[in-house]
Amino acid sequence: MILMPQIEIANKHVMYKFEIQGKYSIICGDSGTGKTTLCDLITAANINTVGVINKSDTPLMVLPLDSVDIDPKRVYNRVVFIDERALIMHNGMYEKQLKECDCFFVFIIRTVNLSNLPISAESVYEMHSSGKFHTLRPMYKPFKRQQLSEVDAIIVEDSNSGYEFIRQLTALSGCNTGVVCTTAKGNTKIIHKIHEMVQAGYKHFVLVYDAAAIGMLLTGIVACINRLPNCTFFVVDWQSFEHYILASDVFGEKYNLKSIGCMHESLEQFAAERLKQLMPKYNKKQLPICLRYNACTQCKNTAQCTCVNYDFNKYIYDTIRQLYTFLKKLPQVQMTGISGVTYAYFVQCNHAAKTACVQQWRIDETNFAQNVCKVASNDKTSVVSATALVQHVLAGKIAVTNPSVFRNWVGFVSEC
Amino acid sequence: MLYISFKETATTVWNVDGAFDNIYEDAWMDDPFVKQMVLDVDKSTVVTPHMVESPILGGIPVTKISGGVKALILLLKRPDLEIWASSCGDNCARWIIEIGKMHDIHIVLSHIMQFPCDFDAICTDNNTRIRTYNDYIDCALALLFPGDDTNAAN
Repeated sequence: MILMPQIEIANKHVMYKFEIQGKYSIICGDSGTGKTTLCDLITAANINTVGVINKSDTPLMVLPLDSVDIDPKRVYNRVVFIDERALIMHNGMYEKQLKECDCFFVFIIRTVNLSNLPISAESVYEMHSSGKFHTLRPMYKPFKRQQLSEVDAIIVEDSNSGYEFIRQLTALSGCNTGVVCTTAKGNTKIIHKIHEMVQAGYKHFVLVYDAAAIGMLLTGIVACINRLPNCTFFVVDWQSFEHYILASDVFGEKYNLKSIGCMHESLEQFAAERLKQLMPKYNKKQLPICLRYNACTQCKNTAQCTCVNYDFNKYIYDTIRQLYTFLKKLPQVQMTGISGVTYAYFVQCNHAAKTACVQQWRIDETNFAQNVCKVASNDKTSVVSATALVQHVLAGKIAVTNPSVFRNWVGFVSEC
Repeated sequence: MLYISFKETATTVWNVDGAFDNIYEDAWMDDPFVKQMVLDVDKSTVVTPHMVESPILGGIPVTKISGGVKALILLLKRPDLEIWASSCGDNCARWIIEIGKMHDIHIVLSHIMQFPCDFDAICTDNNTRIRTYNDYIDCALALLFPGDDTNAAN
C-alpha cells in the first residue's frame, strides 16, 4: 500500500500536483483557488473523460454529495475527497465510518468541527496556484517562538504519561520555583485553560500540545494567542509523547515518520503501537517507571536550566537519550529492552526503593554493599545515592560478582 | 446589520452551491456590485448573465464560479436566507462586512473567519454586540471552542 499518495491530475487548462501524508488531510484557504475544480477533474477522470490525464499513484475518488454512508470496500486503498457540500459532513454520522475505512481522506472544508478526528497540523493545507499549476502548501507556518525571559506556567494538552513526564521534568530542572505545570486535559480544552490561567494572573507560558492531532483547532489557538498581546507563549508543538520517545532514538532504530500511511488513524496511534512493540509494558495512561523521575535531591538531573530560550524539544530528547545511554553502560548485565531499563531506572532514581535495593543487595552481595557504603560515605547506615552506586560499578570499583543473582534481582525489582 | 451565529440549524443553507445554481437570476449578474465581487474573489469577469471569463479556465458558465462568491451573491440578493459562510474563504470577509452595511444578513460560521478590520455585528448565539475584531474573536473562541466535552478529541 502506498504510504504517501502522490496526486497528479491535469487537463488542458489546469494541473494539480501534490502529495498527502497521513490518513486525514484538509484543504482549505481562500475561495476561487481551484478546490472544486480539482474534485470535478477527479470525477471526470474516473469516467474516462477524454482530455483528463491522471498520473496519481493511488486511485482517487470524490465521495458523492448525497452519500449518507461510506462503504469501506468501495473506498479501500483510495484517496477519497470529501467536499464541504457532502451531506455526510452535515449529518454528524461520519466519524465512526471514517475510522473503519482503510484509505486516505481529504476534506475540502474549513470547519473546526473535525476536531474529533486526529488530523495533524502538518496535514492542513491551502491551495496554491501559479497560473495553471496548482499545489498544496501547509496552512500553518511554524510558530515563531517568543523569547522567554521567565516562565509562569506550563500548559500541557496531554493528561496522561506525557503530562506526567513534563511535570516531573519541570520539577527536576530547577526552574520549578513558582512555575505551575498544568494539564488542559485534551486539545479541545487548551483555549479554555489558557483563559483560565490568564484570569488567574499568569502571563508567561510554555504551551505543549499534540500537533499530530490538533488539526483545525490550531486556528483557535493562534487566534487565542494573538488575542493576548500582554502574554508570551513558547509553543512546543510536539507530535505526541510516544513520538518523542521513539524519535529520541533510545531504542536505536531509525524512526520514520513517513511510514505511517493510512493504516493508522494518526501519528499518535502509529507511535503508540510501535512503542508498545518495543516496550510491551508501556501504558499511555501512566508514565512507565523507566521514564519516571522524582524530585530526589540526591539524584536530580545536573542540567542547568536557565529558562531563557528554554528549548523543551531538545531538553526532552536529551533527557531520554542521556538516561538510556547511562543505562546501557551497566556491565555484565544483559541489557534487554524493558527489564534492563526498568532495572537501571530503579537503581538510579527511585529514592524510596534504593534503600530496598541496597538492602536486597546486601542480602546477596554483602561485600558489594559494604564497599558501596565505604566508598560513598563513611556512614554505613546512610542512604547511598543510587547514582553513585551505579557509577562505581561502571568505574570498575565494584564488581558484579553474581550476574545471574543480579538479573534475578532485576526481575524482582521490575515487578515492584 | 450583520448577524453571526456559530451553530448550524435546520434553516441554515449549507449547500450554498446547490442553492445558487437553482435560484440565481440573470439580473443578479448585471449588478456592478456582483461583478466587483466576482472580479475580486475569483479574479474573473462577468461577460454575460450566463458566462464568466476566468483567467485559468477560460469561458465558464455562471454556475462554475466559486462557492464563496455564490454565498456572497446570495447574501446580497437573498438576505432572507441564513447562509453557511464557512463556504467562504477569508478573501470574502470584507465583502460580507460591506453587504452587512447594506441590509440585515444572517451568516453561520463553523470556523474562525479572518475579517480584515473592525466591524459591526451581532452574535445571535449569546446576543452579544460585536464592534471590533477582538469582540468577534472572543465570541468565536467561546462558541467554537467551548472547552467542554462537546467536541472532545481525546
